[in-house]
Amino acid sequence: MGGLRFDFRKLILILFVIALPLISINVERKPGETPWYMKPVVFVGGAVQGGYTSFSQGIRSTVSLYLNLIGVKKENRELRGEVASIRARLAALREIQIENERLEQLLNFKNDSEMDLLPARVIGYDLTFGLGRSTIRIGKGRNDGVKAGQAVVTPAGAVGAVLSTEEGFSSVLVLTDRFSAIDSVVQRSRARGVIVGKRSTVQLKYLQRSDDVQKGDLIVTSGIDNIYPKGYPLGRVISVEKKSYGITQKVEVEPIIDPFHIEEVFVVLNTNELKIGARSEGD
Amino acid sequence: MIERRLLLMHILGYVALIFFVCATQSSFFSQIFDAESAPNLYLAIVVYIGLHRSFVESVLWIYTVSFLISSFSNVPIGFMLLTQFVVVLGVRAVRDRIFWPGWQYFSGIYAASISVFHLSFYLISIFMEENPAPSPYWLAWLIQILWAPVVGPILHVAMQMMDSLTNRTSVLTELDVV
Repeated sequence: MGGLRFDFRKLILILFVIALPLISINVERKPGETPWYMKPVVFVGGAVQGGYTSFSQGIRSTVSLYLNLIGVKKENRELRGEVASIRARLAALREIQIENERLEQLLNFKNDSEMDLLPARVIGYDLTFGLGRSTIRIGKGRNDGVKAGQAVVTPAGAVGAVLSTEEGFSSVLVLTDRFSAIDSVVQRSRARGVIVGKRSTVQLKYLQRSDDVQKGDLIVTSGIDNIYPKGYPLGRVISVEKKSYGITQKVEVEPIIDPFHIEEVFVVLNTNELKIGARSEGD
Repeated sequence: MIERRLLLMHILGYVALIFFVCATQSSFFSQIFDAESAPNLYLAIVVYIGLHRSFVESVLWIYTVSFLISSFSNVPIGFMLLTQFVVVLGVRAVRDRIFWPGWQYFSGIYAASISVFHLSFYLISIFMEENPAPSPYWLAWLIQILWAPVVGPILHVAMQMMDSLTNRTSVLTELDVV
């Protein structure tokens, strides 16, 4: 009897363990669906996987950052050098562009003008510019047809007159020099006066007390001094002062050109011919 | 023979330096900045000569400097001569009372000479010119003084080097610097 005694509980357990894989193999799992009992597991698994991936990526990027640091520094140095070089080239190009625009403007002015103009570059300023004599030196001289007394202009306005010439360069007395005097008129009212230099500004002198002149008026050359072409801009009136006595008025004028920043100018070679034309027109 | 050659080298060296500083002042600075911002470089040479040369030699150099700088300026030579005489006399008057060698002293006296130059220029203009300067040129005066501690030491070293190369000793060496 004792040999037939079975432990049924053990037998059932063994059968269950053997049968379970067979049953699970045969259970069909529909694609695209997660059974309800798997959902928590999948969720936790995904979360762990995600966290671990972030962690491992962090480590990997940190390690690679350290590993590449030397390379990055080197590359950074090279890039900085390259940027500096590009910036320098850019600045040079900008300067060339500005110069081109200026030269184009000068060329247009020369082509459009009736005057016989000789372009010249300013090569130097007087050692005592502003203090003693406000003269500039231009790179064109006697060999180029420049003569003392010829007008020097820019597209914006008159600069001055040629003071002396050498073979290859000339000195120009700028209109702001205290020894410069230019016969001029107020463009609006045609009142006549003389523009006299005053270091950085100029003054319109010998204007009669009754003459009409206002702040903002444009002062132009009269053309009768045989130096400057008629109607060329000289400056704008910045103040008018009439004293209670006297027969004239004090008129301060800001020159159109900046006497301290002149780079290129034109020498007017045929002022006399223009003058004759202007006079015959007037007559 | 060697002394003559050194003397010639000395004179030519200073002439070249005068041309160089005048060109730098009138062209280089005016192109880079503007005519208003240029330092008064040639005055440093006048000051150095006034400090380290005998009176007769200083006078000869003043004539030379005035003659040479007339090619860079339209101011009459006589006007330049007068202002430089005033500067040299002022420099020598100070030097005879207080002096120590070195660029610091030179820069100081050079800065002071700029004031003497501007003031004398203005006063001479008032007394001698028909159309005198309306006022001292304050801005240029200030800018030139500010430049003095920068360009003074450089020019001092250059002129001392030129003196030592041409075996030239300062009159002060025999006086009180020893």
